[in-house]
Amino acid sequence: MTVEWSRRRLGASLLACALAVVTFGGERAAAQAFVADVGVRHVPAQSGVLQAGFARVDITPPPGLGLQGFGPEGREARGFRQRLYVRVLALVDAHGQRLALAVADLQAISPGLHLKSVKLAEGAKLEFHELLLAATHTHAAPSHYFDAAAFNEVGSSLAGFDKNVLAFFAERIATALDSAFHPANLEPARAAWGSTLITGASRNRSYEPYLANTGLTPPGFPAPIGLAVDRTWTMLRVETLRQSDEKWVPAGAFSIFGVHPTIIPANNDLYEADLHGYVNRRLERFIDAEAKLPNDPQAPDPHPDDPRPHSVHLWANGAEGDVSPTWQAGTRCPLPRLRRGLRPSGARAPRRADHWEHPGATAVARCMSLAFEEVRRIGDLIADSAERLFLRLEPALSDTVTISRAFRALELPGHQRNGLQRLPDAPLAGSAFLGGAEDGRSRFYRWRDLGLFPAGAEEGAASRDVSNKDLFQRPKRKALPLLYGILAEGKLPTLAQLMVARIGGRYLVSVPAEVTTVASFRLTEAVRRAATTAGDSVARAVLVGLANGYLLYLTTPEEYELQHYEGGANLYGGQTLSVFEEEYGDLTRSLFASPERVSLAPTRERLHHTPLLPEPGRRSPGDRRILGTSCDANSVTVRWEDEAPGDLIPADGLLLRMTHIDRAQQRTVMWDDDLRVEVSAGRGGLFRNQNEWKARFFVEPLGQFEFTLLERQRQSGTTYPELNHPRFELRPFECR
Amino acid sequence: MALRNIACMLVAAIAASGARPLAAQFAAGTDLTFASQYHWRGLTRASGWVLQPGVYAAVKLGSGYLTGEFWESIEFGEAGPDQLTDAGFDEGGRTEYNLSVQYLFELHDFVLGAGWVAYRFRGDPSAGGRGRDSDTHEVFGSVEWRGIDFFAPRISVWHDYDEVDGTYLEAAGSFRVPITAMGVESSFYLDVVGGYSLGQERSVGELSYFDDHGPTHVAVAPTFVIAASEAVEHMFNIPSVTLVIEPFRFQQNIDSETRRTSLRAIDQNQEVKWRILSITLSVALQ
Repeated sequence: MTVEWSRRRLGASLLACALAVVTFGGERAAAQAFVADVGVRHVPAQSGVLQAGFARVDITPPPGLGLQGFGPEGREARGFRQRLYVRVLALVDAHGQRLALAVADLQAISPGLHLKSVKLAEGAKLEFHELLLAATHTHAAPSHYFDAAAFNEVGSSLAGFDKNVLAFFAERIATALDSAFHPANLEPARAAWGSTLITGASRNRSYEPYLANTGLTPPGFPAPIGLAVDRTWTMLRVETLRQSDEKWVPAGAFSIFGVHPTIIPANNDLYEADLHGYVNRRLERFIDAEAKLPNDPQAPDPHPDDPRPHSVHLWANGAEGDVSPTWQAGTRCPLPRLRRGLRPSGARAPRRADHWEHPGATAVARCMSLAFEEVRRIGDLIADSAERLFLRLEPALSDTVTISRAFRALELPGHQRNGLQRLPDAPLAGSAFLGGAEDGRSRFYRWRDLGLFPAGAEEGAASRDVSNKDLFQRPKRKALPLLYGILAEGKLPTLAQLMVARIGGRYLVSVPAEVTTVASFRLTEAVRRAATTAGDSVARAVLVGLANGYLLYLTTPEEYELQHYEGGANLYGGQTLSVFEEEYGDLTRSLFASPERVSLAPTRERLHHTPLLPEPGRRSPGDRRILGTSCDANSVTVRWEDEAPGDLIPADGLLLRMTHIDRAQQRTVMWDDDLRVEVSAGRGGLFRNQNEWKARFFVEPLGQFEFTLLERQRQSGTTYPELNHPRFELRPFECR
Repeated sequence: MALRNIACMLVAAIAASGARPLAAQFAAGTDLTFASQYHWRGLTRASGWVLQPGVYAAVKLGSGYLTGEFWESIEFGEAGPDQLTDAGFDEGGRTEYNLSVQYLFELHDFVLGAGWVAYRFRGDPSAGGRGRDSDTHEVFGSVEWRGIDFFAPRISVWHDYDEVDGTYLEAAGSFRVPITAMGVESSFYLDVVGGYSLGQERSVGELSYFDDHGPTHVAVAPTFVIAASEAVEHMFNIPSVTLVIEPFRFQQNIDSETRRTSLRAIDQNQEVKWRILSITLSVALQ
């Protein structure tokens, strides 16, 4: 059930809202209370032109959470490598229309996180339909914050919903929103859209279903596997007016390109921003250089307190549902294998069960090392093209960009249109989903029950059930029928927050799902046709996936029919795409109507809280001290004692740096926000020091280094008191 | 004797490895076996139902586990005049407990083990049971090859340095067929075991288990091991739960002591015997 109001009616009264809940909410109203503080405000623009503000806020949580995305293969995080951020671009046009574009280094967004972030961002004065919050889809970010319980329970090897994890991310996203919309940051701006093709960075990972498409297909269809993807990198370049000298300077950019950030394999056990993190960092330094801002980490202490770039680049994912980066096969680590294994046993104990033998450390180190190289290779390829595009856009910059958006929250189960039921009564996870996608097969891939009968944990025929009585879901085969009631029944997402935002000449089609290449083409075509019909003859649409929610995958009906991984994860069946085409068409048409079409988002249902985020204050903070250093052929490792993971929150600030001393010169070579630096914490245990931390720097261990633990201040707003650690140094040490 | 036992425990603890603690990993668990008869080295020790609980704690050392275990055998009901019993006729209850230390570790494709075990008996000798005068100690070692998944041969040796003063050898092979279903990890095993007495037979002034020097028995037993999947354990934060079912055991008896299956005259010279059922539930925290 969806409740739709016009903007004018929205502003009428809260009573109308309550009446709508009673009138239209029906039985669902009890479980899903509607937002009460909705009201659409026109915030007067402070100038007659476009205004823009950027913000980047660290969201790297303490170690100890499960990494989301690889299902049972997703590890518990021990620490971090490339830090996780949320990046925000705030836009206000000359008419006061506001839009926040936010991209978080998370695996996905839940409607609850979207809503809570807006609510907490009191300074930004945003409405929920003014925020497009997307995830990069890194598979090395935490789980435990989803509204749909199944994602918390099966998305990682560590299960459970933790309200503190939800609050942790929502608070930091809200901080970023507040900062971007803060009057001090919101500056007169000019912007320009452009696009370029990037070839060689991505390929279609689900080629057989791609080839099965017979309906509307992109130009050039069918393309070879390396070209059977949307290769378009779309960018909105933004410059702001520097008050000090009244000059326009590059401030950042918002880009869209569809590819899975899954180069780092499932064996990784550190928070990691993967391909998107690497490209964002490169582009931010590039934009800083264009703006002639000091940002070079090689320079001697350009910003002693924070070496991170000033500029902000947001890379939102596009049509990435069936798109993998062009990683080499060697980046996939061996899967665990079920075999007789060594288990603790007494002299009189009975036989022990088989166990999963995990690949050895050497094998994992090999594939991880190759994966890092691939992040750099593919990331450089992408960043090179994006930088050239950024430069090309300068002549097209304009300060007359206008903004409009339409938003709708759609309850999917039993969805009807024109009196006809269009979607099934309940979502269904298919068995093809169990084996994992090509980017990261699960240990259950090609599983056989009793060693004989295919369990459907593979793509294709074994995962099809043509006798499925639910016509909407046919031919999907139900996953794990014996355990389905426990694992998935009532635990899958039911809410889709759909949004179309127009910024200048581009329509952003914000979809809460991973959309395949051809499905994306059909959706954007639906938007383009609707816009053209409404009078915009040069309409161009681009899809932003994984935005404002997460429904798993969205495929075409033809792709669904084959039941590959993406089809098995298309929860509402093959007709979902046509429903979405109609809905997005309606939303687009509403952009031209007055009033603008807006509907309300339900709040999330109550979930059982499982405390997973390390709690602060369990142990009194000890003095910092270096415990030891060591090195091997290609790295230097420093161990030190610090606060426990519950108190030392990585997101509160940078932690350390490594300086190389060459004769009289000192050169900072690394900070703890780098693909070449791994920071991890000791876990609690009888013989383990949970206050022990370890940093491994992948640097040639020749010469003298200086390791510095930075002074750290805790972010205000956290519930524990501020602590300042004095800066201290270990110098010099020499590894040979 | 106490010093000798402590020395044996220490030897078992550091046996055959230069083991050094790596990541501290602990495991603890309990096993509960319910069996229709108590068989041990081919001998029928109790011909009625027995309950055999065990608890253990282990620490990971190097590539293996050092495990300490307490195990007990309890005879259900009271043995009748024709039955074999360790408790004593018309007695029942707790009859035996063992304390053991074992170190198991992997070396290439081999699993090597060494340990020490103390046998303590609490039956009533005056009623035909096994009493404190039977208390004894053994050290043991084993080698198992796991180079291939479907068959694992093993050789074990136990040496009693106390009351029995003799050695028992065992050769075993285990065939494995994984029959795992999604969410449940299970295997079917077919075990073949042969025993050989090398001093644990009857001799003057010592306790004994067997009559003669030489082969004692050969047994074939199917076993089903059913366990919750590791993924399911993680998902629901539950400990490792394993069910081991040995539905029967076929045994060719060779030594006259292994031929005894009851006190009835007709059961004194059985060439073969069958054990009906053994079920073990194991719960482990790792």
